This record gives sequence, C-alpha cells and structure tokens, in this order.
Amino acid sequence: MRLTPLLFLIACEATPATYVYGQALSDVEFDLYADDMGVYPSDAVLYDPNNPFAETGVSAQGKWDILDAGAWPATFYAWATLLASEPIGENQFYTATAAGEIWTRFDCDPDHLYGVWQIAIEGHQTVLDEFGDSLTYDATGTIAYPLAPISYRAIETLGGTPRGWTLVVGEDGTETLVAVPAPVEVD
Amino acid sequence: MSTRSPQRLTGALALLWALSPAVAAAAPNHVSVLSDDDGYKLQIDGQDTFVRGMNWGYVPIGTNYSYDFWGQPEDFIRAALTEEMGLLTAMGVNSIRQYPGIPPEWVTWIYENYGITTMINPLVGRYGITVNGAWVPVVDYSNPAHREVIKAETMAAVERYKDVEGVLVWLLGNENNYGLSWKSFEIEALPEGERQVARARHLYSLMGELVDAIHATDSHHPVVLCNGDLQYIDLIAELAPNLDIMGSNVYRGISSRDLFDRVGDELGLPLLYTEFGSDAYNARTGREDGLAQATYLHGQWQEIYEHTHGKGRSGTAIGGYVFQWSDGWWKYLQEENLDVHDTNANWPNAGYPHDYVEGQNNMNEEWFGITAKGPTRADGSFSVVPRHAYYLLRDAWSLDPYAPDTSIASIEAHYRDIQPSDYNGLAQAGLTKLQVDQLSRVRLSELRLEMSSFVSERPQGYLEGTGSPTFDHMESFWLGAEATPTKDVRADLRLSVLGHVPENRIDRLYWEAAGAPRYVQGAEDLEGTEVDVAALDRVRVHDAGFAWEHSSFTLKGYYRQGHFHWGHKGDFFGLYREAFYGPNPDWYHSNVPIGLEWTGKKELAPFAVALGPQVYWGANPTVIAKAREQVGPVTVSVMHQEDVAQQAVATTSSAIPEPVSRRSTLVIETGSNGLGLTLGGIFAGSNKLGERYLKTQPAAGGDSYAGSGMDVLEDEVQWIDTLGFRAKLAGGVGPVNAYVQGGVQGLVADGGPDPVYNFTGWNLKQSGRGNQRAVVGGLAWTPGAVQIAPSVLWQKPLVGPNPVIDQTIDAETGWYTPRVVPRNVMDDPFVVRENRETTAIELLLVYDPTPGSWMWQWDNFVREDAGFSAALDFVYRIQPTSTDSHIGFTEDGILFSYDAAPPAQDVFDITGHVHLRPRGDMRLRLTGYGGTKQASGSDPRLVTAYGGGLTGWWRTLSLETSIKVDDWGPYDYHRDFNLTYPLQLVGDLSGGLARPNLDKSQPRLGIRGQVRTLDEHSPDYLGFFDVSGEQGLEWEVGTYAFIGI
Repeated sequence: MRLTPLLFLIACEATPATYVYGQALSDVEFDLYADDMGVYPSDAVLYDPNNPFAETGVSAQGKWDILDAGAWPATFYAWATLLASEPIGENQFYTATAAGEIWTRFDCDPDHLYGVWQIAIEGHQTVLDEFGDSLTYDATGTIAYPLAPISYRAIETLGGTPRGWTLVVGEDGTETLVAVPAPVEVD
Repeated sequence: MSTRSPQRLTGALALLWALSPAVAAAAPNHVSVLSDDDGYKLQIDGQDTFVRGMNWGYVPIGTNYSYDFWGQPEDFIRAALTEEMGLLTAMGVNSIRQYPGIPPEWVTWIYENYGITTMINPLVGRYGITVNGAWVPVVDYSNPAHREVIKAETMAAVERYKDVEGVLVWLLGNENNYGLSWKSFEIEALPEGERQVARARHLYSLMGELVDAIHATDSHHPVVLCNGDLQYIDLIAELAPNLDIMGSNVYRGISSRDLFDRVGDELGLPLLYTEFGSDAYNARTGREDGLAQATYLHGQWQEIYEHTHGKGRSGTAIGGYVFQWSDGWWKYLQEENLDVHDTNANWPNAGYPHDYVEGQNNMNEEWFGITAKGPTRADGSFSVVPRHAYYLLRDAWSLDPYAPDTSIASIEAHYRDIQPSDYNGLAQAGLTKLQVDQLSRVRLSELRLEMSSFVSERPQGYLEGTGSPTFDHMESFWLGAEATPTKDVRADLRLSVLGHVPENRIDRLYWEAAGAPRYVQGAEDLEGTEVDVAALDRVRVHDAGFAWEHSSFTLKGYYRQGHFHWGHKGDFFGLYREAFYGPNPDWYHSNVPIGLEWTGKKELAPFAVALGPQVYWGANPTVIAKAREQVGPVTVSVMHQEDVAQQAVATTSSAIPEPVSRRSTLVIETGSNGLGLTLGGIFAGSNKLGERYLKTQPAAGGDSYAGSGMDVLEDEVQWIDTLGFRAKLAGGVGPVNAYVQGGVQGLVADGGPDPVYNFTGWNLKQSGRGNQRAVVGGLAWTPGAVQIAPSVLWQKPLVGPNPVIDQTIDAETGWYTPRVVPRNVMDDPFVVRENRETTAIELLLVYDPTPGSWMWQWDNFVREDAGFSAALDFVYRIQPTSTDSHIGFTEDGILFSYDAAPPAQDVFDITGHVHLRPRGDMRLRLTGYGGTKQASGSDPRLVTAYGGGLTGWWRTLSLETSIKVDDWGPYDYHRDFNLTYPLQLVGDLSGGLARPNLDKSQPRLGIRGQVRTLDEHSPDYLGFFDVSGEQGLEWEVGTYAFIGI
C-alpha cells in the first residue's frame, strides 16, 4: 500500500513519448563541429550532434534523393556520414561539393564560412591525393566520369590552388591528372 | 579340434579362483557381543576380537568423493588392495569401514587374504537420498516417504551382505545427528530451542526401527549406531532400545573423559569408536606434525585398552576405527584444488590444545591420514608414506587386551614403553616428505609438450583455397609452476611457449594462432615476396591465480581461470556470472576472466566482494558486493554492482561489453516443508535516466511514419524503467518436483542469465535482461528411474524491437524522415534480444537410475556411474516478433551493429544423449541433435541442422567423433553471419600410457581428422566461381603427441 504513492509520483514525473515525424531538409543547418569534418580520414561528423544522419545512416537511394533536394547542409551531412563509414572517392567528392555549395550560397553562419571553404578545398584535394582513380556514374549507372579532374577544377573554381597535380588535356579532349614532381631543394 | 583334460580344467579353475575375488561367499561369520559383569567383548565365531579398525578408502590425489574405486578394472583394484591391505595387516589392522558400494566378493577376498573384516556402513540418508528418482540432499526424517526409502536402501544392503564372509557388523549412519536441518511446519512451530530435539526424535526412532528390521533379517551381525559423540544419548536409549553396540565419532582430544562410563551407565551397551584420531597438521606452526598426531592416538588407544573387558573400569570398550588411513586431499572445497594439499583448517577444537588458538580453526580435514598420500601415478594408483602413528599403533596393538595377564598396570607399562618420539627414525620417510614439502613451496606442476602435424586442403573459389594439399606442423609447450610462499597462500602460473605455428589449419582460431607468421603489407624482399615477421607472442601467460586462506576470509585472484557464480548464495538476478568458458577464451585470445574474489569467514561470513577488469566475459571493470544473512525464518541478500569504467576490449560477439551501469538487488528466501519461496527486486541502470530512445507501434490510422504503417515515438528512460521484481516458488511432493518463476523488469533493469538448475536439466530459462515480463516453470515427475519433465516459458518485452523503416525524402517538399533501425546495446539504453517475445514448451525425458551422479554436470562423462542412462529433450519456441540488432565484428576486428535482425520465426530443437558404462574401464556417450535456428546477425535464412557424436574411452584408448549436417561452424562469427557447412565430420583417436582424462593432460599419441563440404553459405566463399549446388571440400588430417608430467 505504501508503494502506491511512490509509483504515483514516478508516473507523474514521466515524460510522455512524442511522435516523430521527420524534418524538412531545409531546416538542417551547417555547424562547424570540427575543422576537418567531411575530409577523409576524419570521422568527426559521426559525433556531431547537428548531424541528423549520425545514428541512422543514409540509404543507397536516400543519398541521391538528398542530393537532388538541393538542401546543401543536409547533403553535406549525408555524404560526410557515408564517407566516414565508407571512405571512397565518390563519398568524398559529394561531401566536398556540398561544402562548396554551402560556401557559395552563404548557407551557414558567417563565422563558419571560411571553415566550410577550407573543408571544400581540402575535400577536393583529398579526391586528388587519395581517390585519384575514383569514378561516379550517371543516373543510368552506365556512363562513368572520373572524379579527379572535376575536383581539380572545383578547387580552382573555389579560388584555391590544387597541390601536387596538374591537369593535362589530351588531343581527344580527355583530361588526365599528372603528378607534379616535388621541387628539388637546392642548398 | 581340441580335447579338455578334466585335470587341466580343474587347474584352470583353481587359477581363476586364485586370480579372482571370491565369487560365492562361504558362510557368514557369526559375530556376537559377550556381556558379563566385567564388561563387553566382541566375538567372531566364538573368538574374542578386539577391533583394531581403520577408516580406509582409496581416493587418489586429483579426485574427490565421486571417485569410484570399486568401479575400476579388477586388476587395478587387486593391485591397489594388495599394496594397501599388506600395509594394514603389517600394522595390525583387523577391520576396515566401508560403505555399501564395496562388492561383496571383495569383502570376502580381503578377509580371506588378509584377515581383515569389513564393517558395512549404510549411511541412513546422511548425504541425501533418491526419492522417486529425484535427489534429496537434506533428508527429512519425519517424512514417511524418506523413511521408507532409507529403510529400503538399508535393508537392501543387509540382504546383499548378510551372508558374506568377512562382514563384521552393521554400522548405521555417520553422525547423522549433525545433519538435522530440514524444515517443516511441525518443526518450525516449535520454540527454537526444541527444534533440534524434535528432529532428533525422528532420526533415532528410524534408527530403532532399522535395528529391529536388521535383527529380524540377520542373526549373525550386531548393529552399531554411528553417532556424533554422545549427543541425544537419552533419545538413543529411549528410541533404539535394541541397539547392540553404541558407536561414536569422537574428537575429544587425548582423552574422552566420561564417555565410556556414560555409555555403560546410560545405555548398558559396549562402545566402539567409529571415528577418532587427530590431524597431522599443526595449524599454529603451519607445518606437518605427525608427532602430535601419534601422541593423541597413543593416549586415545591407551584409554580404550583401559576400558576393555575385565580391567576394573567401565569395561565397555571393544575397539575403534582410526580416522583415517591416508590424507583426503579433496576434503577442503571438495570440488576445487583437488591436487592441492590444502592447509586450511576447517573447524576449531580445543581438545587439541597443541595447535588450538581461541577464535581460530585448528582441525585440518585434509591431514587426518596416519599415512601421507603419494602422487598419483599414470595408471591412477598411488602409494602412501607412513607417519609416526602407523608405527606407534603397530607396536601399541601388539598387546592383547584380553590376555589373562593384561591389566591396567601392564597396559600403562606397555604404553609407557611406546613413545611417539621413538618413531622419528622410522618416520624418516615422512620427514623426507616434509622436506619435499618445503621444496615444493615452488614446484613445477606441469611440463607438457604438444607436437602436431597437419595436412590440409582448401578448394579454389574460397579464400586462400589452393586446391592442393599443404603440410605444416606445430610445436606448443606448456610450463606450470605452483608456489606456496606461506601456509595460507598458494599461487599458480601456466606459461605457453610456442615453437612453429602452422598456417594451414582449416580452423583458424586457436590459442597458438597468436604466434602465426605475420606478413607486412607493402614490405617485400628483393624477390617480391612479402616479408614474414615472426610474431612476438612466443611466450605468454596462459592462466594464473592465487588463493589466500586467511582465518577471516578467503581471497582469490584469477587470470584466465574460471570461477563459480553466486546463484545459490542470494544472487537471484545473476550479477556475478559463472566464468567457465572452455576453449573459447583461447580461440579469441581473451584474457578473461580477470579479477579478485573475496569471501568472508566467521563474523565476516555474510559478506563477499568480487572486483576486477573483467570478472566475467564482457563485463565492464566493476565491483560487486554482497551481504547475506539469516533473519528469523528468512534469508536476506543484498547486492550491488557498480561499473567503474567502460570495457575497452571486446573479443567476441557473444560477449560484447555493454555501456557502464549499476545494479542493486534485494532478495528474500524462505522455505518450509519442501517448499522454497524466493522474492527479489532489482534497481538497475539509474545512470541511464533521461537517455532517449525510439520505439514503434502500429499506426492508429491515417498517416504513418514514412508510409510504413507504424508510428515512431521518441521517449526517454524514466525511474520506473530501472525497477524489476521477480519471484520463484519451488518444491516437491512425492515423485513430483515443480517450480514457477516470473516477474517484470523495467527497460534498463538488466540482470544476468539464470545459472541455477531447477531439479533437472531444462533448457528454458528466464532471460536476465531488462525490458520484459516473463513466467517460466517446470514439473519433473520421477516415478523411479524415469523422469518426465515438461516446462513452459512465456516472455514478452515491455517495448518491442524496432523494425527497419527506410528513410524517405519527398523531393517536392524536401521532407525527410530518418531511417529507423533496430536498437543495439552499444548505442541504445536497452534492446530486445534474448528477451524477445517467446512462448516456448519443453519436454525432457530422462532415464537415470543413479540421480546422485547428476546427469547435467559438465563432467558427467567421467562421473556417471550408471551402466545406462539417457536423456531426450524437445524444445519448441514460438517467436512472433523479431529482435533488435546484434553486434558483430568486421574482419579487421571493428565492432559494428547489424542493420537488421532475423525475422519473426518459430524454431525447434531436439537433443539427446545416451551414456553407457558397460564395464569399469569403458565409457561411451552417444549424442544427437536436430532443429531449426536463426543467425545472430541479420541474415534471414533459417538453418535446419542436425548431427550427433560418439565419444568412447576404453582402457587407455580414446575416440571422439562427430557429424554435423547443414550446421554452423565452431566460431561465433559463423552464427553471426549465418555461415554453414553442408557436412562437418570430425574424428579423433588417441592412445596413451594412462587412461584418458577430460583435459588430455596425460601422455597421448593420436590422429585427428576433419572434413567439411562447402557451398555458397560457407565461410570465405568468394563468389568468383559458381559453386551453388556444388560442394567444395576442405579437410585436415593431423597427428599429435602430447607428452606431459
């Protein structure tokens, strides 16, 4: 009998469960949780409380849907989450692309603009350095595009300078990245 | 064609007769008690006989009470008896005490060859009885059913031995007055001070009835009661008036003072010491002390002589049985340290003042032998080394108490001439042993060499499959050391030293694999071959431990050595889990368990503490404390577990460390009349309060989450989720034993698995995990040797598992619904796993004519003493829902949560085994199983597997075989990833110098083969070749030599 008031108190304190409906991708805001988030090999994005995908991940189709939605902070988090768990060139490329779009569109706190620009530059640079042979495909999944040349140009578009590589255009118009020998230091 | 010569046949029969114990006994000896004004004498066939008896048994070091000497091969028994009885005869022993297990033909053989009679000792339920097939450890002497069983057992023994030559007397019980602890309504209703007397009345009335029943059946052998001292002597006089001889286990020290006179005055009976003596270990100095032992026996026997017939004193003494012949190394702990001569004193006795210190124990139960026990030889036999007392008694007994000129004065003179110190020289063997003991403070306990070779082949299409045989070899060495730095401290250490480690084993996970070659990626030699870097783990500590037996506590430390649970000591919710894992820690290179266990004694007896980095596999660094005390009619246990840090090491998916938690439990136990009630409460996971989690429920209508038909809700852990309650009622009536257990545990009120067996070997158990309501129960009906035992289980989580709901993105609105996945133990405050919704039934059928050697004990293959026993178990589980996610390992050893769980699925399981013991030197076990089962991970494929095995030991040969069809492989990841083999065959045949044992520590040579067929569901299937429908084959054949001391 004496237990009853206690149980009653406990019951009164209980917070009712709330229904989960999801959220608008446009409501996702970019927050500079770590300077290297979204750049391989960092997995800081998985610990970013602002990342809506940190716990649930992103499905194979979902990543394209998010990309198509044009909500760039959400796109950044989605692809950076994928990159942290599956470090491939395609994931790095779209993460860097989303970061570039956030910078281009001023789609974040002004204090974070320089940071997101650096993430975009370093992300594309990582495509060159770590995933030079990576491809992405068109919607049909049949036509492949090398990512490295696109990242090379993206760095230039963002106002940066690719390091260690130069873009060579062949007679047939194909673009190839060639490593630039490190300068010989002369005493 | 051959012809038989009658003369030669007669000679052969004579030889057989000489080689075999007597098959048919001659007439029984007529034993009687002579009573006159001068006292009492025992007479055998009319001859005065002074009993120079010995409590004799044959239990080699490393074994315990379950060792079955009389079940050994005949030639072994004969050799052992020849050695032991020869020593006994040389000393002057003319009678030994034996329980009814001794075959009658050996009674006669001992008598005819050595003149030693046997006192047959039915135990009258002292250590439990089998009632309707169920083992009852504490006998209720007021229970008519128990009394009937005891009477039947006792009279069966009388019938078996009454006509056997060599039987001296019947001895009833073994100080049964010290074991009167049953509870009943009748007893509990009495004032506390009267309960024991009330129980004793039932005991002695039964003894009286047995005396009369034996008299009615056997007129040749007197009946002796084996009482603990003279307790309840008035009840004995009243309730067993026809007793022939009062027997008593007496430990009063060097003199029994008034004992002889009281027996004469109050009972009017002769007195036979059924146990008496002294231990040979000085608890005060911490040294073996054969001299003190001999001193006590010197005084005790002189007193017995002085009280024999016609000496002018009580005249009641007719002799005694010294306790005991050789040391019992198993007696302290009884199941543990069987090869350690423990120096822990078990009980205090001020009658032995040479080593008595008030408040401390001084009686060392393992050291009562008048001979020290030698090491066990390869064939299981041993020799003994006489102590002072052996030689002293030999000379003391040379005096015939019934000789006409033997008087008090001559007895005093005789004993005065025999002084214990006179035998220092003769006991040189004992002194030598003492020196060896000194040396053995650090001793090499194990030196074992294992050398093996392997030929194996893996088919192409599978990882590392070459399609051709490969050969490799392995050398593995083991060194064990034991240290006894002081009398109370013992430590042991076992080192593993690796030679070459093979790379072609088809089972990749094993202890020595840690030393396999490692290839450095990217580091090639000039020829482009990867560089082999020899593993550094060549010498490793395999296991270590220590025990400190302080007078107020026992402290044990363990590193990769198992320990028991506290389930029988108030741990109703399984906080301190049992930690015996077989070969698994070796497979996964887990350093478990590791920790300390402290158990109080005397005034600290209610308390126990366990703590350590991983006290059971998967535990966080934790401290567990327990207090348990009897409070009136109930036993109250309080426990608390506090994790102090997150476990950083996970080595197998079956023991994933869960987030740090804390748990407290309160348990109350009471019982009466064979019924036991246990009530428990748990308060756990309070550190998870406020943690948020997702749950799902069918949508009420209209929109649902991502069109899944489900609503998704976010909630948080609240106080009510930390509480749990459990109750258990167990008891038996006649041939029926039953229990029911159930309760509710909040979402995070996690306990551990239930380790306690209830009456029989049921598989259905209540899960210890929180988030459940559950009821489980069983009924074991045992009409004789057959047992029929159905059981049922119902459990349901309070919050069900989360399904997988894929994320959706509305391209038009940009509305995003995140993916919902099953919970897992690493990221969520609770999960649904083994507590999944289940309704299960089980039917267990058992045939076991000897329930005392329990069928469900792990080493029953060695212990089972029935010629034939068998069990068949059927379990069907209805599982209408799925579970949350399991945790697995990637190939690189990284933990991950599966993205889904096996679907709702009913499963069943049938297992059976038959144990055969057709002769003393042969054991066989046949096993079989079949059923359906689900993977731990996410693979939805239902596995239907079956198989069986045969294990056999015959003399020094050992055979182990098994077959599995469509079953998982041996490792956890096989179950996690649902990796099966169409067929698995294993065979192992070995022989050695000695009979096999379970840990294969004896020298053995053997050959072992293993064959597996593979398909697309098998491990390492690469998919490059279409093997679907075809079966690859991998096999391994190896030879091994285990040489050890």
